[in-house]
Amino acid sequence: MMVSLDIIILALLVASASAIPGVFLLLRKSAMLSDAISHSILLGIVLLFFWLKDIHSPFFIFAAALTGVLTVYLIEVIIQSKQVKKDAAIGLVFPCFFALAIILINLFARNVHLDQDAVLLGEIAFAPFERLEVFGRDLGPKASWVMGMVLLLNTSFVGFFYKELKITTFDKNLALILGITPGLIHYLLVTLVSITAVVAFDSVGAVLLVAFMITPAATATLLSRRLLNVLFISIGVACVSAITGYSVAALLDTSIAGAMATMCGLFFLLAFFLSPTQGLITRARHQKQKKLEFSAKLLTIQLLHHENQSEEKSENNINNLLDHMQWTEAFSNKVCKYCLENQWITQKKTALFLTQLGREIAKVVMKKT
Amino acid sequence: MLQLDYTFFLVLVGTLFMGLSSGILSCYAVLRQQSLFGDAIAHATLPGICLAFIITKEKASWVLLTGALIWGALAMYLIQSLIDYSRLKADAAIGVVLSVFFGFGVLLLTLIQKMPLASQSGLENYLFGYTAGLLIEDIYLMAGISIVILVVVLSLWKEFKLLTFDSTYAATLGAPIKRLTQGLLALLTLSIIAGLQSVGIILMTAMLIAPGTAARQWTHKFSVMMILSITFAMLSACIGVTLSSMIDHLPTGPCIVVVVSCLAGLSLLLGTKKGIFLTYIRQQWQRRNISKESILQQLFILANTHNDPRYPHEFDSFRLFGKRPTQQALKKLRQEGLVYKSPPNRWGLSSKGHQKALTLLKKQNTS
Repeated sequence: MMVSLDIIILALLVASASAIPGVFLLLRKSAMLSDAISHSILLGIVLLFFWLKDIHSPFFIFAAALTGVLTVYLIEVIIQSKQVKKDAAIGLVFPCFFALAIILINLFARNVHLDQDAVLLGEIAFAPFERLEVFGRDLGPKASWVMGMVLLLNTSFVGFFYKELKITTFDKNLALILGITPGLIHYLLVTLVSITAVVAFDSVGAVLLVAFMITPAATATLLSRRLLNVLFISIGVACVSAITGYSVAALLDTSIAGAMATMCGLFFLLAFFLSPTQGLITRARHQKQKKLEFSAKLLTIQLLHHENQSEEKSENNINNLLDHMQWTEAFSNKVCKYCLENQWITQKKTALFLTQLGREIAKVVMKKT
Repeated sequence: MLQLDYTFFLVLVGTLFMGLSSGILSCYAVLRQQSLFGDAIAHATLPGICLAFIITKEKASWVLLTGALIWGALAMYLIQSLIDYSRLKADAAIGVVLSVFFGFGVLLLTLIQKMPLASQSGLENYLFGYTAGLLIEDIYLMAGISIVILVVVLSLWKEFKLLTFDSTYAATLGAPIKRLTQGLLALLTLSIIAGLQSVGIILMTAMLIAPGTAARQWTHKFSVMMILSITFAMLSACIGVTLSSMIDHLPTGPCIVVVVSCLAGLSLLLGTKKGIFLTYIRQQWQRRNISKESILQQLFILANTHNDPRYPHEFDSFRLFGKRPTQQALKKLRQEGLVYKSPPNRWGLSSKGHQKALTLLKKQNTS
């Protein structure tokens, strides 16, 4: 029981620590940088592992994070040479680093802690076994403490540079005019992403980190357009995915990180379909309503046009809608019902008559166009 | 020690076919800026492979690869609809689909590993490729896919080319843009499937970016680029397979990826058309030329005020035009016989230099 609580706490820390920089990466249209960074830090981790052996020391974390920053720098150099587009530059650098790391693992570290599956998938379930002890007292898993520090670092960075981050994200030119160097802020952000990636690597592996960075942020942008709300929503979504993911994994006895990523995806899909402002279903319903309103107004114009004319009897008739408007019977019934409910028209058998309100509406619509 | 045995040739032929198909599609992916699409599709094949195994309990590669194909296509469709129907940009849509599908795949993979009948299904070999396990049937499959890709690309050569470089124009000509785009993405998925066994899910993206990028640096002609791209991909497959069979424990897939990345890096530096090195030299040469021409023009204008085209001026007179030229540039011009120096530091146009300045100014006035 204690162990599973430890895992959940660590999962929550990983999820919220990665969601924070993820929001800014997403908004800066650099979402795939997280993919590049989380893959290429493996090279740093492997190289340093041969040298230092202790993967929890602060020096190790910073040095490995440096690989991520260097990757971004290399990508930027390639983009600036104007030979290659951004996406290709990203895809050129990180597979090479990752492949080198895999080769090194296979050649020199076949029997050590770094096995290539663990590297990819991570194993959060093993994290609680390595514990932090001070004066003989057990303070919980080491990984949680380190991850907590990273969360603190990310939160304080965003808190401290909130304005700068916001301006450089949404209006680079304004930032330049105000004397904020977008480049510096960008590299600070990239450094944070790299540090988060290095620390989270052990628990969730390379690829799934992208799920925690990008997916909650993407979900949040579908739900809100205010930066602060997006930040909080994405942390919330990440935490809920972590908890539900853990439960699913415990139920099926599978990879915790995989289940967490899957839950992130499920919540994203929910938002994609059901978001109150942008969801696919919401928008479809909205569109249907608009269509109905427009057709009802069109009907009032038709009725007004033929009112008191010789052809009134045949034109202003419910059967005529099928012919002249080319509506289906179901749809014309719906439109008539809508008009009757709003008291725009009255109906006597199949003949339709405008009310005073309906006449006004038709006139207003015609004036507008 | 290089052993030229049956397995070696099997692996070699398999990876060569992989090189052929990814070399072809790499050109389109790079030029159409869809490089990372391939990354997402490759990652999204993992749940397909796992589900195929769970449903059929078979581990024959064609069964698993069919599952991979279905899920790859599903991912492609999902990314496209996310871009079309939500506010997400392409990179975010790719990131979301890639990571979530892969996460789901990992979930299924661990589920399978705990199933009693799994008996080492070898599914995790698809992560980084596992060439030693290639069978002759797999080679037939790869060959079939490559040939299908080759035939389709050759028969729709003009259409795909137009779509890649000017899709608006293609639309005005009445080409079915949407179907062609989807067709190209379907071919991309197929080429990924062809590489899953040798290069693997994670690193397949490199095979779809590096060969095309490398080829682009050497030519401006699409057909030449295509041939070069295929050559680079096949060459790196060759080198990778040979190296990994010579050195123990050197995995083939990652080795091929490193080789092809090195080829791309070298091409970026040295390429004759867009290479960084030659572009730099060209720029320097041009800069020197421009500064030389401006010296001649400045001397011409100065001399005009004296009604003597050869009148020499103090070096400091150049200050009138802003920055003074370097002594080096002046020396170079003197070697070419365009200017002369009269001691201590006065400079004037020679008759040849006067002629040159005149033509330069004329050219400037007409343009």
